[in-house]
Parts: sequence; C-alpha cells; structure tokens
Amino acid sequence: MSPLGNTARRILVVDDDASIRELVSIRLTLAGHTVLTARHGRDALTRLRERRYDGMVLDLNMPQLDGFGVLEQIGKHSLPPTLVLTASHSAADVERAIKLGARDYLSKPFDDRQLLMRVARLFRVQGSKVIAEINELTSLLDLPI
Amino acid sequence: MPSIAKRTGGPEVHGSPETAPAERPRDVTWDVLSERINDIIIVADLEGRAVYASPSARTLGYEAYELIGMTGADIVHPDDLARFAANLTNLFTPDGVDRHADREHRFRHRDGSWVWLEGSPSVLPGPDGRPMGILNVFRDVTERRASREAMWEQSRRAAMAEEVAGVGYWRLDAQSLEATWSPQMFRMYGLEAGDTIGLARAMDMVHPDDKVEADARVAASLRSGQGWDEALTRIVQPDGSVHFLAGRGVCETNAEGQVTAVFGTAMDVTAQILASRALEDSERRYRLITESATDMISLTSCATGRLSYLSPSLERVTGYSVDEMLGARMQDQVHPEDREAFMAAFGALMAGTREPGQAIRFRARHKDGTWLWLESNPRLVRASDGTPTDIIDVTRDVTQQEALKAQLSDALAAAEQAAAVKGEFLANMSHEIRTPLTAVLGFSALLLERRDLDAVAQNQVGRIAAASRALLAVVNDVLDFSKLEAGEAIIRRRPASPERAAREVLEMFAPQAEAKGLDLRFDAAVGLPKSLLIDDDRLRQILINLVGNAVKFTASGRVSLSLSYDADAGLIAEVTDSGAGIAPEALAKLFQRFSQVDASSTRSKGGTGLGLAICRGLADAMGGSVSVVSALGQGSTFRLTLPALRGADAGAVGASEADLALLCGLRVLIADDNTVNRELARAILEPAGVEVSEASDGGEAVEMARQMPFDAILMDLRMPVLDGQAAMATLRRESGPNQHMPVLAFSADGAMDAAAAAACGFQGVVCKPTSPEALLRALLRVADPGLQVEEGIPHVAAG
Repeated sequence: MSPLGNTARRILVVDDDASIRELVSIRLTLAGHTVLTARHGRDALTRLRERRYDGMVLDLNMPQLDGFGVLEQIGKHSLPPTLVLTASHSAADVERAIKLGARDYLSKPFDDRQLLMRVARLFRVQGSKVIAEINELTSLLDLPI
Repeated sequence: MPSIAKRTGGPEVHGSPETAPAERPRDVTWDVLSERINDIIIVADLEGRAVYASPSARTLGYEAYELIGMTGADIVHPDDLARFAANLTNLFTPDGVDRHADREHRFRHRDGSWVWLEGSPSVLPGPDGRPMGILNVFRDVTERRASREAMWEQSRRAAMAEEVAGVGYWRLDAQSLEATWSPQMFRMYGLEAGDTIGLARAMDMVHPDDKVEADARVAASLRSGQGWDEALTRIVQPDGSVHFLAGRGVCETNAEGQVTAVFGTAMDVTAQILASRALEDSERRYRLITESATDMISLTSCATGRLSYLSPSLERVTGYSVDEMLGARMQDQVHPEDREAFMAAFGALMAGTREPGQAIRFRARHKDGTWLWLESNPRLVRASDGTPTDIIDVTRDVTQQEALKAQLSDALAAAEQAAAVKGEFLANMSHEIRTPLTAVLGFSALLLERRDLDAVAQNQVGRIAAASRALLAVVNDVLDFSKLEAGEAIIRRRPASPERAAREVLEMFAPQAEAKGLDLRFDAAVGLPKSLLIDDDRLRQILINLVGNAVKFTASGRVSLSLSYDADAGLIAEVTDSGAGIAPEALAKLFQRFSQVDASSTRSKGGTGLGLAICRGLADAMGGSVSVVSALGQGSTFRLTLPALRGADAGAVGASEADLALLCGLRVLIADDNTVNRELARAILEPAGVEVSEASDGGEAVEMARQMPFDAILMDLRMPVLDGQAAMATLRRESGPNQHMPVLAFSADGAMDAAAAAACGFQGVVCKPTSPEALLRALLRVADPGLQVEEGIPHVAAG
C-alpha cells in the first residue's frame, strides 16, 4: 500500500522525453507500482501487445507515432486505463484523447502529488464502475439494497 | 415809429403816375424785376407811409397801389408793431442796422390771416445825400417760421425722447463753437454732467477713424446750412470703451442765410449695431456655409418627397448640377443595398420616432457612376401648426472617412492576425519549455527528498528548484496573460503556508541580492496563520514578480518582504525597497501591459514587461488587489492584499487539512438550473482547490460530460431539458468518459436520504440549502481512496 492507498499495479509509461519517462517511473515505483517504459508510440504498441497492463501514462506529443495514434491503434476496448500527459492547454486535445478512450489527463508541468492522485484515480474509476454495475443489477433484479 | 419817419421827411414817390418820364425806362426795368421777384419791395417816406409797393404785394392779397399811403400801424400785427417801428428808427442811429435784430413781423393778409414777413430796411438817400425815405424788402418767411417751429417741435420731442429713449441733443453755436449739450449727451460720452462743451473737445472724443468725416460734416453744415439725416459716429469714452452714436443735424440760419447754429440729436446705438453686426455675420456665415461649404444642404418637401432646394456644393460632391437634381427624389440616388435603411430612417423621422441629430450613412451615386459615402443629418421643418412641411438635410461626403475606416479595419484585422500568430508562437514556445521544466522540477524535488545529501548539496539543489520555479513563472506569464485577458485565469485554492511561499521566493533571489550587496529581509507579523486557503502557486508568482522587480531595480540598500494577516482584508504582503523610486507619471502606467518604467530598462534589466499587469490581473482574479506607494528618491512599497480563509477555518466544517488535500485538484461538474445554487457550491469548493465546471440544465451537463472526464458530478434533480435522473441515466448508458463516475444527487427534497438516492442510482446526496460541511463530506466520500472496490468483486456479484 502506498501512502495514497493504492495497491501495486503494472503501469506502462510512454514518453519520448527520457527525463519525463524516468521521473514518472521513479515516482510511480516509489508509490509501489511496477513500471515499464516505452520511448515512443511504436515501442508502446509492441509492449501493449506483449502483455497486459493495469494502466498506462501516455504522452500525447511524440514523434513518429504520437499518443493519439497509440489510442487509435489499440482501440477503446483493449486499452488499459490511460492517463494522457499534455503540454498543451488546449481543451480540444484533451477532448480528442478522451474520445479515443483515455480516462484522464494531466497537464505539464505537474508535481508528484498531482501525478500520484491522477494515477490513483485511474484505478478508482473501476470502483465506481462496480458501484454502477451493482446499481444496475439491483435495479434490473428489482432487489432492495 | 412814425415820429422818426416824420422827422426825416418824406421821400419821392416812384410808383406813382407822376414819376418823371426820363426815368421810365429804368422804372420799366425795375417793374419787370419787381414783378419777377417774390419779395415785396416797399418804399416809404420818412413818416413811414408807403409811397411805392411792388406787384408782389399780392402775397398779402393786395394790389400794389392799394398799399400806397398805408403805414405799419395799418397792417402790422399789434404785438409786432413796436419791434417793427424800432427796427426802422434804428436805421437812423449811428450804428445803423442791427443785423441780429429780430425783423420778422406778422402782416395782416387781406383775408385776415397773418403772414410772417421778414423786413430788410435801408435808408433811401435823396439827391442831396440826405435821407429821403426808407426802402424795405419783405420776404415771406411763413414757411421758414413753420419749419423752425417744426424744428423746435422736434427739439421738444427730442428732449422727450431723451427722457424716454436715451436720445441726447445738442446745439452748436456757429459763432462761439460752443455746444450746449443735454444731460443725456454727457451720459453718452461718459462725462460729468454739464451744460456746454467746446466743439474741439467733443471732436477729440470721436473715434480716430471717424474724426475726419465728423469734422467735415460739421464744417460743411456750418458753411452750407445743410444738415444731415443720419450719421453714425464712433466715440471713445474716457474709460476707453467705444460707442456707436447715431444722429441727425439741422442748421439754424438767419435772414441772410447765415448759419447761426447746428442743432442735432444723438443716440447710443452700440447694442443695436453689435446685434446687427452679429446678425450680418451669421447671415454671411450661413450664406458661406450654404453656398460654398462642402456639405450639401437640401430641402425636401414632405408632401412630394422631392428636392426643392439644393446648395451649389451638390455639384462638387455628386457631379450633378442643382438643376439636374431639383425635383428628383434623393432615395433614387441611394445604393440599392442602403435604400431600405435610408427610407426607414426618413420614415422614422417623419413619424417622430427618430432622435433628431442622428446621422444616417448611405452610399449614393456620383454622376460618374461611382458610389459615394454620404452622411445625412435630416431635421423636420414644421409649419406654425406643427405639421411637418419639409425636411432640411445637411449631407456630408464621408467617402474618404469610410475608405480610411475600411483601411483601418483591414489593418486591424492584419494586426490581430499577426497578434494571434505571435500568441500562438508564444504558447507553443511555452509548451516546448514545459516538458524540460517538468523534468527539472521533478528531479530537484526527488533530490531534495534524499537524506544522504550533505547540507551544501541540499542547498544547491534547493537553488535549482527555486530557479526552475522562477523560470516556470516567466513561462506562465505569457500564457497567463492571454488567459487573464480572456478572463480564463484558473485559481486553485488549497491549504498552504504563506510564509513558506514567501521564504521560497526570497531564497530564489538571495544570490542576486548577495551579488549586489542588498540586504534581503523577511518579516512575518504576529498572528500570521501557518495555513491559509490560497492558491500558493499564484501567490508565489506575484511575489516573484514584486521581489524580483525590487531586487532588479534597487542598486543598494535593502529589499524587505513582510506578511501579515487581517481577518477582514486577508493576507497582506508588502515588498519595500530602498531603490530610486518611481515618478508620479510613471506610476500611472506601471500596471499596464508591456510597460516598464524606463524603456531602456527592458534591455538592461530584462523581463517581459507583463509582470505587474499579470500581478494585478491575478490578484483581481483572487478577489484581491495590488497597489504601490512610491516617490522619486524615497523607494517603493508594493502591497498585495488577498482575501483568504485560515486553513483552520476549513477545519471548522469538519474536514481535516489532510482530508481537504484530497479534494485539491478534483474536477467537479455542478449541474443546476439555479445560478445561486451553482455559485454557492463553487464558493464552497474552490477554496478547497476543487476545479469547478458548471452546467445550467441536464442537457448541457450530459454534453459536457461527454467531452471531459470529471471526478464527480453534482446533479440537481429538477432541471429543464433533462432532469437529473434522466441525465444520469444517459451518462450511464453511453460509454463516455464519465460513464462510471460518481454522480451525487443535488436535492431540495428533504426526504431524499442516502438510501433513497442510492435507490435512484446516485452515489450520494447533497441536500439544499447547501451546507459546506455536507458538500465537502459528500465529495470526500467519493474522492476517498478507501471507497475503492477491489477488482474481482464484479465477478462475485455477477456470480
């Protein structure tokens, strides 16, 4: 358990900037997660096809294949919960990434606290989903809670 | 009189049949002469008895012979008889004729009326040289008397007029050249009242430009006996003021036709003259305007809508001559695209629904086929009963103005585009800087956490961290500025230590201050809270600007930063320096964008010139203010005030500082059709660092939730378009970014409890009226990581 109450996850960190890649890796590792990295979009596609990840931190602006390309090629349904990183303040970029299946976004520059909270929430979303599914089931079965 | 006449003896009678034949030819000539002249010639003997009368005796209704033998007593008015006799007697005194004696006497006409005759007697010497008789030539002066009477009447009237209308009168004696002035004359000349005044003195007061004329006028009357009708003369009063006097002059003459006096009136007409001059001026000006101004003046009949007058400037402006356009309709000359608006404007004018003086701009045809831009200023001309009869219109050619306007708007568009490109470039640049900066900030933070670094290394890493935050502030300046201008500044409040922020800022500038030998001080007032709900990033940003400027512009001495707290004002930060101070004229421009006190300082000191403008904008966005007190040579003090709750105040609602930290950075959507409810929720959440978005109905909420992920949604139950429950159902059905996000019922229904809300599918409930405690708790519950449900449970539940 990390100080924020996360359980250990296997997370793929994708950024062409080595510093950011390393920084995020260190922070998430310190928070108790297992981190693997990819240096660009194509690298990320290879990693994602190799094995399953609990989550992904994905930079949107990369050469060759950018974050949008990764989201498109993997597809909404096979995508692990994804936090996109953006250096742009443009809402359009975030909306586009969300439409392509990203769960959440974080603007650069960010500090460690913001990063950890956003990553933690990636997995918490699943919890809400459970609540929603329970609600749906109970309403379908017309069961009192 | 007869006694004297008797004493001198009787003359020979010429007019009688006994006249000597030798003298007859002369007598004939005499008779012919005396026939022709109007004057009555009487020859009397020394007794005063008439011995001859000329035929003009008919003036008195008598034939000449009928007068023979008569004496003055028979025919002169009894009142005038003594004077008549005296005049004759005086002929025989040593002085002779008294030229100035009144020799006008009334003679009885045969019909009984009185005729004024002026006598001119002389002694008729006999052959021996002794007086033989008296020759008297009488002139009918009835008319002259009448005119003199009239003059006297006039003068009486003038006196009256003087009393009632300020007309003065004067009488200039021809002999003495002394003028007798009426009191009003003295008043008009601005002199002390008196009786007489010398002509020379009066003339001295005439305006130099009028003097020659006035002198000539008086001299001519004295010479010719002709007066003048109306003369305008300027005089200068002793106080220097110039007055216009209007007046007439009439001459008084004696029997010899010699001028004895000039009588005149004068009236001060300065006011009228000035008024009429002004009128003339305005008329002239008006004429000038209508005839030669570039503005066209036109008159259009309301009845026919046709032009009835056009000023000549029409041709200069439109190329059409006045004759071509008279009788035409203006609207036919208007550009088809402008015609409707043109007609509507004139319709409104006629209907009285248009503000007078409101200009109409339209395009109109020039004779050469091009279009002109004209500006009309129509007004109604009304008949005395108020019905509009005409439209008077002053139309101006504004073609060039419009062309300039078009050029200007093109130039503006180009400038705006250039600015947009520049802004985009700056934004891109700042984005490029953001990524490396994230690394610098992140790694220095990691290093600072290491326990194995020695103190020197720790300090150096701290410097790196502080410098990178300063760099970040500059980068943010550029983006913030455009956001502040667009009103998009995002403020994130969270519990933070103001003192820590202040110390970090000072730390950042310590090397610079040290290099310049500046004393950099920090002072925290007693009672400064350890924690305040503030956006410490923004606070730091403002302080970096203020302290940075102080250090930059202070050559020697000290820079101090002091913090204090006041429950009403909030956090107060003061940055005081011992620098050169700021001149008053520079103070006014200080907070304007791109302004630096000295343009040359941009090169020598660096900086974006946006700093203070951003400081003020940020302070405004946080409900605070930045002000400055400074004088040349006195240094400057910048004062920042930010309303801020104590961190402990937030604890009062039942949430600990640690709990509130969990809320910080959350993104919450508030959907409610009631603005007040949304604002109240925002007021509670923003100080906790929550990013709030708002939707005013269910439809908008769903639309926003389709675009962006939120950490929680607060959903009013009763909303237009889509109610809360329907909106939530839509979210749950669609696979949007918020499909599984917690939605809290925002309910005014007191009966709605957590169980009822859950039964409706909500993950919680916040009841209205909203209490901060209830709202923060409800959000903490959905934000709490402890709420997490482990993976695998769905399978269990499904199973």
